[in-house]
Amino acid sequence: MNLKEISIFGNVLKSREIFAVVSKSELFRDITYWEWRRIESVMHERVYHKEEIVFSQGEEGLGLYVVVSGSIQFTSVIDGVHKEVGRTTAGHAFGELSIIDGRERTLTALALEDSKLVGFFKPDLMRLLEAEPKIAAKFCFRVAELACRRLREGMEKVLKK
Amino acid sequence: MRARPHREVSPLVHWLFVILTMTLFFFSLRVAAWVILPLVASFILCYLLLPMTDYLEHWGLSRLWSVLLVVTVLVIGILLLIPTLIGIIAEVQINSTIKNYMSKLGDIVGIIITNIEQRMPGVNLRGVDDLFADNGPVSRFFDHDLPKVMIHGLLEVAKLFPFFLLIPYMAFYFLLDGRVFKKQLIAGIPNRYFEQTLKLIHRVDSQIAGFLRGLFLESIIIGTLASVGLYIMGVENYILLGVLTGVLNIIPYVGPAAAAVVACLASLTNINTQSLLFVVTEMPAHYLPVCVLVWYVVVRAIDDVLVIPLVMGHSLSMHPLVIMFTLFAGGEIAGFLGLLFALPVVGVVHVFLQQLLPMCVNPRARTAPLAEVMLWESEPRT
Repeated sequence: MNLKEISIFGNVLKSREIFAVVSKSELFRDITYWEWRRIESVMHERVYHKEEIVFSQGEEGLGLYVVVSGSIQFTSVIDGVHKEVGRTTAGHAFGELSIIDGRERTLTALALEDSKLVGFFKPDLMRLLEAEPKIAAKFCFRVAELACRRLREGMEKVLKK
Repeated sequence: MRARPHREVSPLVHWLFVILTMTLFFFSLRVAAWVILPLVASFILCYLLLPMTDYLEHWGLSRLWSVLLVVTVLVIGILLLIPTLIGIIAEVQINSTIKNYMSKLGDIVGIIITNIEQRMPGVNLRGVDDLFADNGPVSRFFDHDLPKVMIHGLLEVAKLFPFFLLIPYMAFYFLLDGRVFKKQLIAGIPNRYFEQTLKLIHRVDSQIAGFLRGLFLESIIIGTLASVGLYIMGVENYILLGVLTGVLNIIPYVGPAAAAVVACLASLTNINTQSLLFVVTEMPAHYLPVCVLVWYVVVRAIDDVLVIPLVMGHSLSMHPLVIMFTLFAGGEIAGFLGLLFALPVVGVVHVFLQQLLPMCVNPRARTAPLAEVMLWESEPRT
């Protein structure tokens, strides 16, 4: 039995542990621990078993996931065939575009091993915007930054061609 | 990717489910009103108070303090209101006032009958006049039957009183821990349905909130309008009548009509001839019931044309027949409480099933299991 399970501060320890991983992700980089405690109250912890699908391409998306442990594989249907397009591991977020636009998922995400994820979803972000605008703004700014970078990369690719 | 079929739920199935759920609700209301009533009432109250607690939280108060503040203000407000309300009711002296109304009504009926008999010589309507005689059936009803019924009704309500105390208590915990309950509920959903369930809960939540707040706002607007009109016309007890109009407005069709009848009766006596309407138009006092009736029709029109589209939007597109049947069923099975809760509950059930049923039959709305994904592939995963 470890300290997390028996201590009355078990929740805080668990939250510290998750925060240590999540704060590595670029979306949550400038969120402090106390701000994290506020976001955490609207986040959902999920456990996925090996080969379980997190979301599939074409589905309406609702939000992003941050990998706490394990690894996730992304596949995409190219010319009618499923092909791997990338992988991600602990401390990284994925599906971050859906939390803003709520449109269809562009990739399929699949757990490569038993993985723990925390999900952060659009309705909860909206609520956070009302209740804690400062924290929500910090987060939204990071998402915008990421989207900008993707856009620039895409434009560069087009220009090179 | 193989196209996954898209199916819709037949409206018939939807309405069958709605009617089934409503019938179950009414039966449970009849069997265990003291359990269902505080639960439903505190649930509704929670939705009405939620914007306030959220606002306070936005100001920087903690969840606990904002909820505590809102519920405390509510309880103090109710405690202050109860003596005032009892005072008004005592002032009206229900029994004697109603008898007063009835004798006036008898006079008016007498005048009408005399009129008819004068104009149509062969007609004899004396029997109708006897109904309102001093010891006739009407006065007997008001002397003996009505007090008995009213005392019985008051006792019934008084019996439920301890459970009314439960309402703020339960609303407090709903407000404080509602999100925790929601999160725990979501935590139990399998991964495959997780995101869709989250979306479902959010949509249902916001629609129910909009519907209940709209209903509440509509009641307040209509109650205020009626109250102001009655004040201008010089009907006494205009506040009590306005509150009654607001509450009865929740009951579709029947409620507004009943409120109008009560206000017309009230305008037969208990009038203030110094009011604006009398001073300006110098009309005789016995025109007043007609004015009140016209005002209620106008309020009804304002409600239908302006208030409902503005406040409720198109959140609730239910067929009038469905509402009618729900009312009949509610009134038949659970009495006045059934009538009062019919529209709020049928709205909630309708909105909930509107979101849930398509999700149950539509495979597109679900995450595909791995085996299905494997089938779509024509070559092994790299």
